Amino acid sequence: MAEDLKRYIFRLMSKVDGLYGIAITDRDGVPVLKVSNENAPELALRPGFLVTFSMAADQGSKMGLGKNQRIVCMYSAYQVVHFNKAPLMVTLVANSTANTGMILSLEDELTDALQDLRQAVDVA
Amino acid sequence: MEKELDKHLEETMSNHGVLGTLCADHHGMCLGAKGSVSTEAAGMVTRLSELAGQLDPSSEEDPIICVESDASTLMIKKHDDITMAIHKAKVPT
Repeated sequence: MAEDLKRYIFRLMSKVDGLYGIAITDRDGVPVLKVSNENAPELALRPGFLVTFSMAADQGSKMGLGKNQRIVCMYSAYQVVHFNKAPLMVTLVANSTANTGMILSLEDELTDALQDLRQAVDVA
Repeated sequence: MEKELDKHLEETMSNHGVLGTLCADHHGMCLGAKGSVSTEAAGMVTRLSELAGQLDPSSEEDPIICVESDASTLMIKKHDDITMAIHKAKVPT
């Protein structure tokens, strides 16, 4: 199943030009599933980096605007899009010139794929 | 901040047959949307205009893309960093 899911996520990646990697982690940044190509910056897919978005999402939810759903971070060379799908976190790393709107439109398809993975991290 | 853009989108909507309109930036992020065109279409609209532009790289002007269905037409045009989409009902003949 994991291999099927990886292949599916890899196919999703190819839908957006410049999308280099997708990482699905738990709240602590521990990777559940990671898919990337050779252009993905290795540091951006490490738990130490990914967990910062989980913390940012928690803080963002305290601003009185409701639950934080997405974070988009633009850097000079890359962009990082983060979906809060508690208890899972989905992080997408792409080139800074990639189409952010197209990356955001992957959310629905990724959400469908996450249903089975949720059970792996859900605490009873 | 977006009042001016909103006003222009409203004016576009007031044209006969216009069902929806959308304005997106070069990142595919929606700047404004009215009517039948969803904000989620911003990324795809921008990407379509980029791809169409690649068909004739030597052309100085960006092409106008028309996506036609039985009942309506979606017209997309890019100008500098902004992409506009207008969804118009087809006039029955």
